[in-house]
This record gives sequence, structure tokens and C-alpha cells, in this order.
Amino acid sequence: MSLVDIIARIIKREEPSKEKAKKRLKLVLMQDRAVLAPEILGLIKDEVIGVISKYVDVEGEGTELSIESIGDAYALIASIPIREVKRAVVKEAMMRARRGQ
Amino acid sequence: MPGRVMVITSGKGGVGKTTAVANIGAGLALRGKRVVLVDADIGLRNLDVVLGLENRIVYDLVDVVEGTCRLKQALVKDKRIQELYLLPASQSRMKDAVRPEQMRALCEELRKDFDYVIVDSPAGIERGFQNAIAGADEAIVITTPDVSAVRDADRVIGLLEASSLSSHKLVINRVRMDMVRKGEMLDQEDVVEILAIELLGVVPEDEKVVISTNKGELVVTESGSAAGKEFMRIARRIDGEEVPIEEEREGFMDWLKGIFGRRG
Repeated sequence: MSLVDIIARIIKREEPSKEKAKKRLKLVLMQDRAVLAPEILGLIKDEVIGVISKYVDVEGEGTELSIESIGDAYALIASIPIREVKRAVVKEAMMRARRGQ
Repeated sequence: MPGRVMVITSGKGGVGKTTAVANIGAGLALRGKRVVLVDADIGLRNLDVVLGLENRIVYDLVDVVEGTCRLKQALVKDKRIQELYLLPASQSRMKDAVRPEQMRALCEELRKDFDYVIVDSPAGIERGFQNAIAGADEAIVITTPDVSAVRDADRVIGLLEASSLSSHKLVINRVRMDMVRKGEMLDQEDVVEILAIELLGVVPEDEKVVISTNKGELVVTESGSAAGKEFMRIARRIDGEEVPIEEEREGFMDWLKGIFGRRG
């Protein structure tokens, strides 16, 4: 790196281009890999429903799981319709939590 | 003992796949191994010109598969390196002239007679790629340190993981150390972190590759070539030798030139 480059970078406070390349690649590959494996998304969905069903009565059919970009990051977005929250289920869940302490 | 069948592949074109096949293959042959290079890029024959053997082709891979000639008749022996052979691709036929099971049978036949069968895969992930990996048990993925090549390499690695190959390793080609030092090019650690794959070698950008290819010669036979040296080290690693992958260290003069911006 020449002196001119160093000074220019300090003045502009610019990050080296490889850092940008790395960030962009990580995001695009996350999306590529996820998009390429819908069966993986299906597996995640089933397990998430399983866990949530322990506490609330959810509608498995209407559940949607997707990967969306928010700003320059990606997020796993789950939309899980709740059928009803049963008192008994909540009580049992709280008992379980207390036992776990 | 039957030989090893390796496919060299990349996804993206133009990253130096054919150069790597020729030089790694030649490197293994220089170590005294019996090596055959198979050009699986049917319709876009290239390996012959890189090896400087374009005038000696009589039959090609499609002729062998279709039974027009015997396998031995289609093999072209290298002029300079003992034990290095080429099975050329067909230039006139299209890639659907060969099926994966035919490639598998061909590789089985070749491994009886050679220590290494190295298949040069076409770019892309379609039929030609499927043919190229069909008979292989190991894969070498070539990439350059730029975003498009790395992305395509990731796709190829995904496909290789889903196939029956036992191993796949990475070669990063055309690395410019001057740019890496400035932080303007992904370095080997970045690429390995992103792709999560075992590294086999890091080949520096070297204009001697262009010059050698112009003449139909191989850079691996040149002692003064940085890329040639690394291709030889890769060949030794493949052949089971412990050769550390070192980051190219710059000399004092390079550092001085760098500071004063007179690099060229």
C-alpha cells in the first residue's frame, strides 16, 4: 500500500473493498443456500411448530417460514397462526418452567 | 492398484481450470506417475492447445465412447513429459453425445492403466458437469478470489456434497499478493472461511502462464514461475506429501516499492 493510499483511506475512512466483498458474499450465499434447500426450511418449520405447540395451540397448516432481507441483513421470518391459548396448557408450561429452575 | 480419478471443476468459466488440469497433471507425471488428462468439455475442446498437443489428435472421447476406435488409439502422448497422456474432447459434437454412465465406464477403464485420471470439467452445472463428475471419486474446485467465482464455487461444492464423491478440496487461483496486502482482494483465509472447504493450494497471478500457454508449454516445467512452483507443490500434496501452504512473503524490496507506490 502506498503512502498516498494510506492517507487517502484515513481521510475518507473507507473500508478496504475486500471487506465489502466478504460481507456481500456471506449474505448472498446465505440466501443461495437457503433458497436451494426448501426441504431444510420445511424441516425447520416442522420443528418450530413442534416446540411452539407445547405452549400454544397453533395452526400448523397456515404456518409460513421465509428468509427475507431487512436492510443489509437476512432474517428468518415465521408466521404462525395461533388457534387458541388454553389455560391448562399455560398452567402446565409454567409448572414445567418452575420445575426446570 | 487402480488409479485415482479426480475431477477439476469450478462452476464459473475463465478461472483457470484447464491450466490447472494441465499443470497439476504434468506435475504428477514429472514425479514419475502415469497420468491421463481427460477433456470432458465436449464441443469446446481446449486442453489440447494448452498442452501444445493440438496437431496430434486423431480420435477423441466421443469416438471411444461410441466404439469408433479403441481407447488406446485415442490417447495422445505428451511430447516432453514421459507418462503424460491426453484423451481429447470432441470439437464437432455436442455434450449430450456422452452419458454419465459412459463416462463412469471410461474412467474405470482408464484407472486400470494409470495412477491418476484427471478430468477437466466444463464450466456450468449442467450435463457436461454431471458427465465430468460421474466417474470421479475426488474433486478439486478452482476459484479466483472474486465474488462471482466464489459464489459459483459454493454452488458447485453444494452439488459435489450431494453426489457420491469422497472428497473435495479448493485451489484459489490468480491471487494478486499486492492487492491482498492493500485489502483490495479476498485472501485465502477469507475464501476458506466463506466456502468452508479444505484448501489444497493458492496459486499467484503470474504472467508467465499466459506466455507459456501462447507457446503450448507448461508453466510447471519452468523454474522461474511462481504459479508453476505452486502447481508443483499442489501435485506433491495430491501425491501424499506434506507440503505446507504458505502465504507468499514479500521481500524487502517489494515492501519498499509498495511504500513508494512504484509497483508494477
